[in-house]
Amino acid sequence: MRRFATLIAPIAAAVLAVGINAADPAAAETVSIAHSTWVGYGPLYIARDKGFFSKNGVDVDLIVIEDPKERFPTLMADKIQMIASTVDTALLYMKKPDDFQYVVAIDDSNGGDGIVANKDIKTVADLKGKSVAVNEGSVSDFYLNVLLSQEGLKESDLNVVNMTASDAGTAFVSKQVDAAVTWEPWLSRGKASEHGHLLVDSSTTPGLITDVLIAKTSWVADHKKDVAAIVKSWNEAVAYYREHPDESLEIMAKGVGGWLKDPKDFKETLTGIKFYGGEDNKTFFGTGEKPGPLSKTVADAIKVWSDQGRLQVQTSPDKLIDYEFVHE
Amino acid sequence: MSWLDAYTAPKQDIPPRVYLAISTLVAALLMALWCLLSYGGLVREDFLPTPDAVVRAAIAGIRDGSLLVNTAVSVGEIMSGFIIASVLAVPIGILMGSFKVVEAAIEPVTNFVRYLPVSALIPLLILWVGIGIEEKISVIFIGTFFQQLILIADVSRSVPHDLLDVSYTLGASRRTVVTRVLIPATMPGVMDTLRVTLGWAWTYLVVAELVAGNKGLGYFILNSMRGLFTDRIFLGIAVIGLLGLLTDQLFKAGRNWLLPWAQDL
Amino acid sequence: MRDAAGKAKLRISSVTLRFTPRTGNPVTALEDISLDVGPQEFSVIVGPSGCGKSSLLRLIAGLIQPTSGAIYLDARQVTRPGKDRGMVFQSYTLFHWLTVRQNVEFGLKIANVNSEQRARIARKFLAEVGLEGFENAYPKQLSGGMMQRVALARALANDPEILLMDEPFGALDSQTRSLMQELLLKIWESSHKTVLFITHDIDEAILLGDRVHVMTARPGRMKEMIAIDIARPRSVDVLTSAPFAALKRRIMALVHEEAVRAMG
Repeated sequence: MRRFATLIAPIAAAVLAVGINAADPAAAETVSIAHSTWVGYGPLYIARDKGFFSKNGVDVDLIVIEDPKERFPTLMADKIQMIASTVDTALLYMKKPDDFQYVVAIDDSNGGDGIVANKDIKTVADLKGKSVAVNEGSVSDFYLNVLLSQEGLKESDLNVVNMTASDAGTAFVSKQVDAAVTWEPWLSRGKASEHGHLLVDSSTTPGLITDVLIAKTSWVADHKKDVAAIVKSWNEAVAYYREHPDESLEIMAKGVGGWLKDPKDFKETLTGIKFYGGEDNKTFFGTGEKPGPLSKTVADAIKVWSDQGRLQVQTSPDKLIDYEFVHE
Repeated sequence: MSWLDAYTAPKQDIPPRVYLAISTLVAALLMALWCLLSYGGLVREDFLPTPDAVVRAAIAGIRDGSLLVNTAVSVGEIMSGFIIASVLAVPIGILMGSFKVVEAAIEPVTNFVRYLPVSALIPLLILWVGIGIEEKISVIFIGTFFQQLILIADVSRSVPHDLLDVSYTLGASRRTVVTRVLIPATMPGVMDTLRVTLGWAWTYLVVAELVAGNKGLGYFILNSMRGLFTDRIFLGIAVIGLLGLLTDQLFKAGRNWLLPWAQDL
Repeated sequence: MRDAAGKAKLRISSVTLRFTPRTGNPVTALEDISLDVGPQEFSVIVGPSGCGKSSLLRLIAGLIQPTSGAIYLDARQVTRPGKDRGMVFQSYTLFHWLTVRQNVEFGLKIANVNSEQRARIARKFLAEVGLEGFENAYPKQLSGGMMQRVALARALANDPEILLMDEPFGALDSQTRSLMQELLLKIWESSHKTVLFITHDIDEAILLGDRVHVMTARPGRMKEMIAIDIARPRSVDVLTSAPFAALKRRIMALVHEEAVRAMG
């Protein structure tokens, strides 16, 4: 009894602090954007350091939260206003059909994600019956499922072993599993191992593993000017990068920091992604009448998570994609 | 003596009924607070589930058998890791506390390893131990063993010098002093250490089931965090809490049964 | 006192104890101590706090080694502990996981005495210390005085050649202490064990002892030996007799001198 009480008390206190604060009205107009440590978010720092945000009239605070399991609750608790996340991950956290809006696309994985496997596994279909390490309920899981469905296979046809992407890389290199769905630097290490090779990577599936900026639907409705300013700043930042790559590299490496703080590492990892600039976004989003590839990715994700029983509400791409801002 | 005097004197015993009444009252108050926060809408539902949501999650888990399976798997992992750690820590700890040579050899390393975050050791464990159940048991072991060593060494160290000395004057050899005096003298402290560290072992469950887990309460909680299924998260936490409470009481009862001569807890 | 052959039961021969604590300078605890205890003699050592009396007892028990000099029991040198030198400490040293009877039998069990005989011996000594009926009690159920009685019975049951007692009644209240002193006198009357007893209570020293040795302040040396010529068997009435008062005055003066020196 006593133990139960002492267990609940600190949880109650913490929840109290978080929850009751959520009722706070919009105090300052700073927009906090949370993201993980990844090359894709570099241009956010160009937009900040080159003054694009302030020129366009919005005050932005960039915060690092590595794990989506923490990033999304923080958004839902209104501690931050926007997050960068893969298209598929947001669907896991939806409790209402139109909780979030995708307002602009950030980057597309172009070889930065993939599957390493034993040399005798030559195609995705050969994964049948093999042990595959993958982070269940993550973008890697989504990616794997899409690839499998293209071969008419399901996850249950494999022996799926759950662990994080980096642990998966470690497990593969240590020969504990036959294949691993992971990202750099583990793809390179898996390729370099004597028993392994790269089975497939995201360069063959453009638009599938894509990061977008997400915000609550209600917040977007009340802050259209801020969202427009942020989208505009983003596109300007990508354009700047394309014109001044070396200077941009310095800014991005310093801004993103972490394991990417050396511009050399940043540049190397950058080869695994493609940024979405102004025109790319127009094409990727499409319009309400003629939706672009983003709509298909969202639909794929809805199907995959629905099949796994992870989707908590019925929804559809048009409820989630906000076509407005990319066309301004 | 007024009851206020009676209940606020340090170390003063209070009747078991009073003890139970106070514990129940506090638990009831916390329950009431939980109901107020959740049903009263003071905290968002996706951060704090209502009690009945947790109960419904429990019923669903019992119905499809998953709750029982997850509990059984986790209990198995915890007990295995804990027992292996204890079997090693008790003799080594006792020796460490009473023989300076052993202490000099082991204690500095133990104090260093004790503070390492176990999750940082996972890649090494994958490399050396693999991804099967041994890896999970290793996590529990590492989290528990080094803490036990230090605590048991302290228990051993605090066996009064005179107690060992008087044994020599009664004709005991060094070996007899260790087996017939030192070890029995440490038993109450050792049991208390085991009781406390079993509780700590549970806190490593989530880390243990991060890798290649597809069953277990830790895995259940992790999976529920993805998607913020707070009713299930709270269910997982509650089950772990209840299991911890249960083992705690079992230990206390065991101590009183096995060591009736020890000072009461 | 020596026996007919002129040999002391316990001979302490020019013993010096020097040690270096972890922090600080080397300390000479005992300096060139020589002392004889005759067979069946009740010898008491008094002295100011810190003069090394306890260390001396531990040397005799073999729990620590002298820096120089030697100790002989029955003409054999003492180098390690053994059941020939039983000891009663000031702190409570009962084995709390054993019953009273099992405590008393402890030394006997180690010596492989069979269980019937063990039980008989334990019963005898428990009766001597007035604790028959408490065989199956655990130490946690006993008072301080009772625990020391068990400790005494346990030491005596082992039939040591000499009984070493380190302020055994120091932790007890004065009433209990008084009763314990009477008990010890009674037991000694029937057994006449050789005893070396340490105390800082001068009344106790004169009441119990045949000879009282006064130690100096650190480094401890033997200052003076005073023979207690009060007839045995003794009782607590002794405390108010005239010879007692004279002895007490004399010993007190000696100890006080040393106590002042110890204060520095």
